Amino acid sequence: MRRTQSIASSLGLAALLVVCACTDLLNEDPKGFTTTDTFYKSGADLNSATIAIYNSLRGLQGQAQWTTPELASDQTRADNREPNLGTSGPDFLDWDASTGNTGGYWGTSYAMITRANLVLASGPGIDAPNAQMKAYNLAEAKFMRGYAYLWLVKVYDDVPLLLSPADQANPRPTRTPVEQVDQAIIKDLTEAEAALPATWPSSDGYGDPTQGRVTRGAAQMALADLYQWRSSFMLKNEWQLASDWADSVIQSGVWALNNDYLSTFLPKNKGNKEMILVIANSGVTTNTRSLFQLFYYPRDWGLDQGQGGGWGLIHPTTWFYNSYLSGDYRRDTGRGFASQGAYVWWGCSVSNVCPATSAAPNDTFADGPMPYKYHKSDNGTNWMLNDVDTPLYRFAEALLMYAEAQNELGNSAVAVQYLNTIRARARKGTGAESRAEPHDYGTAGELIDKLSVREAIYMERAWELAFEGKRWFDLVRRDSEEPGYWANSLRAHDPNVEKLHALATFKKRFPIPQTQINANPALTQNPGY
Amino acid sequence: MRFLITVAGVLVVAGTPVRLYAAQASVRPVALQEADPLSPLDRTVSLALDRVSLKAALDAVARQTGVRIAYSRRVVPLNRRVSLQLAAVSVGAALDTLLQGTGVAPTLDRTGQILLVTDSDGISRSARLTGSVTGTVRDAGSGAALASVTVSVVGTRFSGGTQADGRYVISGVPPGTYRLRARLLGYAPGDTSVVVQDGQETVADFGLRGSAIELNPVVAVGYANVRKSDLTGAVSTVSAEQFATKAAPTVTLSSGLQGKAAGVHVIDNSGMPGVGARVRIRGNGSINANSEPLYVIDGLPAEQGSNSTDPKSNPLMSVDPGEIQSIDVLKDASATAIYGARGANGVVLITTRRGQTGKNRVTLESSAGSQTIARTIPVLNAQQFMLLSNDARANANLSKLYSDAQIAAAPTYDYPAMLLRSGLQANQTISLSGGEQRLRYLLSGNFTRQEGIELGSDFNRYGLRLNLDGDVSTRFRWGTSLSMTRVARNAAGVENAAVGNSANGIQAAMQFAPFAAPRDTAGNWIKTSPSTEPVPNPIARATEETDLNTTSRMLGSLFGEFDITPALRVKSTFGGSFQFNGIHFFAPRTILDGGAGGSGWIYSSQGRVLTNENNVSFHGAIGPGSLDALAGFSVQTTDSEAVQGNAANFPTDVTTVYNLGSGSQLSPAGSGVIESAILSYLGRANYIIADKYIFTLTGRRDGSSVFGANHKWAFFPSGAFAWRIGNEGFMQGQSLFSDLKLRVSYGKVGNQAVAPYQSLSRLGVAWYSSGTTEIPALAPGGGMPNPDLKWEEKTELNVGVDASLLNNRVTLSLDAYRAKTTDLLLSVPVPSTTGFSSQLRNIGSLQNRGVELSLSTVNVQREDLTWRSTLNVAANRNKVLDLGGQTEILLAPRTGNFFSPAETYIVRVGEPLGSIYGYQVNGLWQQGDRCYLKNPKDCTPGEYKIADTNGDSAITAADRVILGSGDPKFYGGLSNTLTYGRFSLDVFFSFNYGNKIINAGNAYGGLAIGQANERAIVVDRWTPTHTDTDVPRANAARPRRLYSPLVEDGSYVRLQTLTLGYELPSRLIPGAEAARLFLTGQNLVTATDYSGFDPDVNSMGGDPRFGGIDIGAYPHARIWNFGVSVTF
Repeated sequence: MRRTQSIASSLGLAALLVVCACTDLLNEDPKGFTTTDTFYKSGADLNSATIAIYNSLRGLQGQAQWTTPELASDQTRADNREPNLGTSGPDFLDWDASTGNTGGYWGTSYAMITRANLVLASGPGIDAPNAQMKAYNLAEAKFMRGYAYLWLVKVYDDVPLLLSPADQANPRPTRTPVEQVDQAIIKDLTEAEAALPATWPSSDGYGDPTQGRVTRGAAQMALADLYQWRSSFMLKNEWQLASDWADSVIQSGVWALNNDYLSTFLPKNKGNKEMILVIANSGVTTNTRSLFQLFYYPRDWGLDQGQGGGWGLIHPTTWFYNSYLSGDYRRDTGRGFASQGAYVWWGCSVSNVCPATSAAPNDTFADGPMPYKYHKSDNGTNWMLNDVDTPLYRFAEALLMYAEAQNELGNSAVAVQYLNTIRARARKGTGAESRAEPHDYGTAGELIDKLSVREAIYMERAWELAFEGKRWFDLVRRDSEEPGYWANSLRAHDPNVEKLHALATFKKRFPIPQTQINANPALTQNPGY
Repeated sequence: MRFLITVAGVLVVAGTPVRLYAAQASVRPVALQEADPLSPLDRTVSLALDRVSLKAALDAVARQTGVRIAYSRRVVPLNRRVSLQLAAVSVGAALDTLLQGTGVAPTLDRTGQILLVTDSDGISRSARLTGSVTGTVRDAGSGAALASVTVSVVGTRFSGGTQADGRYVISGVPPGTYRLRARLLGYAPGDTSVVVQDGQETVADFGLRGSAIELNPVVAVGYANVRKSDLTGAVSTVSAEQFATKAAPTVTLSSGLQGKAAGVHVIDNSGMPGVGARVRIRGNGSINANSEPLYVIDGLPAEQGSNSTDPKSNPLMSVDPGEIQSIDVLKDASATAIYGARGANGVVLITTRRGQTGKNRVTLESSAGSQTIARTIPVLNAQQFMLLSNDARANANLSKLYSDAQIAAAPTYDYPAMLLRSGLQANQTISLSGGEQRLRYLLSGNFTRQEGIELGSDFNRYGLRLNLDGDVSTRFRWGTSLSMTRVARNAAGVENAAVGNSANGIQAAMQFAPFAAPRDTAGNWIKTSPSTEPVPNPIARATEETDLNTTSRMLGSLFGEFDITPALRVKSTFGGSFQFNGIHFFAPRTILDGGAGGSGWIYSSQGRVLTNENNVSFHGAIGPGSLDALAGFSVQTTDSEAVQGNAANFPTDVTTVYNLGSGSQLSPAGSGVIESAILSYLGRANYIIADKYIFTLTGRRDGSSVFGANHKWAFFPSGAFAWRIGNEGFMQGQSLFSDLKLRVSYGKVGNQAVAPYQSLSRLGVAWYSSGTTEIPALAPGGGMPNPDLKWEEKTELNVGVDASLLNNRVTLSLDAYRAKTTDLLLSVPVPSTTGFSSQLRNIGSLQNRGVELSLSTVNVQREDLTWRSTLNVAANRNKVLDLGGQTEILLAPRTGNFFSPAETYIVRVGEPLGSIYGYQVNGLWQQGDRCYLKNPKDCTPGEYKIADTNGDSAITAADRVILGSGDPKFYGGLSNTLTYGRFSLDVFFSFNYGNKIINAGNAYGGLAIGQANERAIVVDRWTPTHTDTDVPRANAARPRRLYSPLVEDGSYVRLQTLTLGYELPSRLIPGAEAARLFLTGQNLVTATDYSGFDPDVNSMGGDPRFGGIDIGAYPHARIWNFGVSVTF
């Protein structure tokens, strides 16, 4: 009796203890991650929050964001056997507000803006011993926010201008007129330009290397880009500002052309003096992988053999492949994955299945050569890893921006000089060759007048910046200067563009994503969609 | 003089049986109902005395019951030594026993105190103006006395129980004429009329007949058991007999439930050994949260079914169905409210077998058998495939791939046949049970092995169970339930991943180019199909790849139960579930997945669920009726952590996953942890008046960690009422109904099955690299935090009838319900300008309505032949009422982007959840048809004639319509049991009507596109000279849309199991008490129009948004087993 009672009472006591001890159990105390309540407190937190903006920048190399302007331009086309409209749709300009081909810039840009706003809102109040790095972090955030809005206006025109976490808390923001957004971009980028270092010290003070962090040069490029866009697409005639900012990059002494065009993109030359702004892909693990090179890599380089290879999606259009001046190094074509050329042809090296001897259904090259300037160091062995950095601004573009601005300002002869520095580098081949072509502009009887030189600069941009996502925006902005240019070029150069629909000029501007309009009915749609 | 009183309450004095006034019936929980509780003599007392003085004994009685006992020292021999054990008897009975032979008897004085006086004082207890009823209950057939029979005076609180000799006594009955009823499990109740007179003893004997059907089983309702007759809620019970013993060996619990309980809908995800199943009790109750029921094993909330879209996921595979004693499924809100926040999807209570007092038994059961594919689907041979490819490409203006000479010379390799085999199935069980009165035990061990019918797949489980029950004293009991199980399952690329070049298993085999040998001339595997859709070689994967999934689990609980007084009991249970999961995946370099140098992945996780349940229960008479009340507190904490590593490019394939460090390509290790907790206060009151009116009130207040700081707690109340019309006086004259009960219940329950931490503002890792240095930064990630996140709530109204007819030959239960889920947890898109893409919110609502019928009949009941049938059938209608402002959500299942558009499901307001969304096809275009489309190419003869539903003369995504729902219109099961002499035959059918299935495998098998091998039916394709067909012309450019011919009727009737048993004469095996041989067949005949392998399929697992899709699922097997069961 006594024993049972003592057992029972200890049982009851245990139950009581449990009751008392567990009231805290309902408060979640996550161990695998942190929350915003405990973050943004130190200089290291601020630096980490800044690096997180770069992570959002990686969204620009996502499939839709990267391939849509590529395939939609007259420079590239999808593989003609690609049956999937989700992949080949952009080539046929087959998009609307719901297809997802054109909506990625919205999410990517606002993710960058969100993280930049967090840094800019919490940063000033953080007591960081490393005051220099705190200033750099704030400048980086301003650059990233300005650069994100630059993408948004180039793609969608008016967008909601939200400059703080408080602005972003509004669930129903409306589109801000593009001029107002542009002025905010100018403010951010000029403030960033003033505060960013021309070159970074090797360490960021918190134990991490700094290669690839944005510099004063990147801010200058973005400003030149904005003024070039405003001057051509919006006909604002701010060529002098475009010229000045491009020239400040050229004159900085920090940046230069490499001798070898193709070596600029090689992973072994990461951080070279020509790459002003990139998305860095480490190739070490899948943490910072990207698949963007797979769109260009031939499919029969192992995709079907278990070695990844590529998706065999993007080919140059016949017009573009044939447009190079004869002998142009930037059109060198090799065979197999060990090729050092800018294009590749002939896929037997791995598969031993060649178009001449078999009707191999997967042979990419049955549909023509493929671009190969993004040459991974492992030749495509591991499809998940990519160590090629995705170029956003290169020094070559600074030269061509300056040339274009000078030409538009009436100094065509100056423009030609800068244009020809690009051609001279192409003649050098691997850096030491002395080819005859491409010859200097003007030496074969080309006219030195504004329209002729403009055409030459646009073509040079197409060749030099091929597959860097620039051509589509060139077609769009030149259409303002020369109405009809966009449609005429597409019709003449890329037969696929009217495969599904007749060209409609409203497609020059991308639609606001339908999902965003659904989530925020205060947003209006672009005309035509 | 010594008194020896046994636990069972039989008093023996000097070898002479003496009548006991009242004894606790040994059957719990139905306690005997006492006489007038106001009289101190009728209070209950339990005594355990060993050689104490009579004075001490009287003091103990007084102390325990709070009565005052007055006596004279001269009259009462206080120093006399007494010993006795009495469990829950009246004070009067206890005093009678103590004072036996003293010439002293208890009586009451005017103040209500007990007076001990000499018997001759003449103040008789019969002065209380009552009479008593006594008699004997016997088996009407054998004449044997029946113990533990409850005999009650209908419409009153008076009742008594029989002892081993079949005798009962009901005392203290006021004079009058009464209806007396005797009840015992397994017997039909016996009724008779008695007249009780003042101070008289009336005799009423009963002869009870064995009942055809167990009329009034004990049903688990969560924290307690009640008789089925006292149930007020909707509960379905599946006994071990129905579930396992007589049916074929069942590998997983969930598939064993199929067709067994009305309102419980089970779809196997595929035919893979140990595969998961979708279990829905009364329809889909949620969209984003888990809709699977809660499983409670031996009283511990142990598991919720998996909501995963992975069809292999089956958290219940470690439960051995052979250990199960019974399964009770709580369905309506009244029944599930005791599980509050986890009750919305229904609760499945699993009770495992336990030891019984008596003879020690050893039972051995062993069975073995083989399985073969139940149905094959022929594919094209090499010539047919090459011609299809050429035709399809020619019709799409593409060059032909194969020359006439190549076609003529091509050999055919039958890939499906190479992948399939006949597999072994074996089950062994040993079980030892028995015990003394103070300790009962059950020890069982089991082993199950099932080879899959596809190469590379199997399922192995072995386990041990020890269940103990002990009595420390008459008032304190304890018990344990302990089980240890290990499951190892190989599934190397056998279950579907998708279609096209991501296909696995049988789907890959059916797509593989039939002209290509699986190995090249050097003997190496060819890695992919040499067709334009290069699917990996399924034979190579099944042969070379390792995909071993292991689960080890220990589930244990310990309870202690203490009777504070006979009416009041406390119980405390501590339980734990410890689970260890592992995955070993390795693909050698010889196959596609292995890449250049092999690829390995190892994953390990451990989970822990700790539970403490404490409750107090009361049973006793209060007011005009009797009350069963329960109040409790419980806390359950869950945590799990996982770690994984993977690597590739090893120096050798030999070390597989056991030396990941030797890979030249290492991926980062991963780890994670999740913790959650639920605190609950619960209560239930069951009040029964006159065996006619039953009221149940249930409430549970739950606090859950997964919700927002402002909404941790919620209260879930319910109420129910049942009216046993059959016990009303006006029903006594009729003979149609043996019993009739009406039930109505209404209540609210919750659903909290969402991932933890979603109310928090989480920071995630955001990677960037500088050069080749990868830098982890922190940034807000995931969904937008929602501090207001709270419970989904389901309110449900249930009306039911339970009836027994025709002298219990027919019993039925009919239920109708209407349930509405509100505050649906829904992931809602938010504008990206906020910095987030979605937020989990409580918006939206949906409704389920339905009816359920279960019917048991005794068709033939003769000495040598019996035939019984049980039918259950249920219908449920689901409707989405509100999506928080959205009108529809389009969803893409795991078919990759092989369908165009990929979204083939829609959640739309006003339609059932999981509606199938695609293009309506009305036959094929024929020569001369009037073309209603702008583009004449779209009307090419031989192409699908797609309905232009929006009338814009073009086929666009806007022309899609709802093509049906994955939910059946009705479903159920029919079982028949025949016994003839020593033979028994069980025949079980299951059926499903009115559901649709997307035959997604046919997107590559039946569209005559020719990128991969297709089903043989494609030979019948349209050509200009063969126009009378449903199969379109060959066309390599045909978009792979969801055409209505790919959406098929999933109705079926299946002969699910057939078991023939034979009871061996006991003398055949020396020492054997019983022995039985049995032959069972499973999945024997299926009548269906579905053209895939099996209509019992659900490739998207438990996710309620995708109902009914067959992504080339693992086919079902037909299984024959032969076995023997012997008990010693």
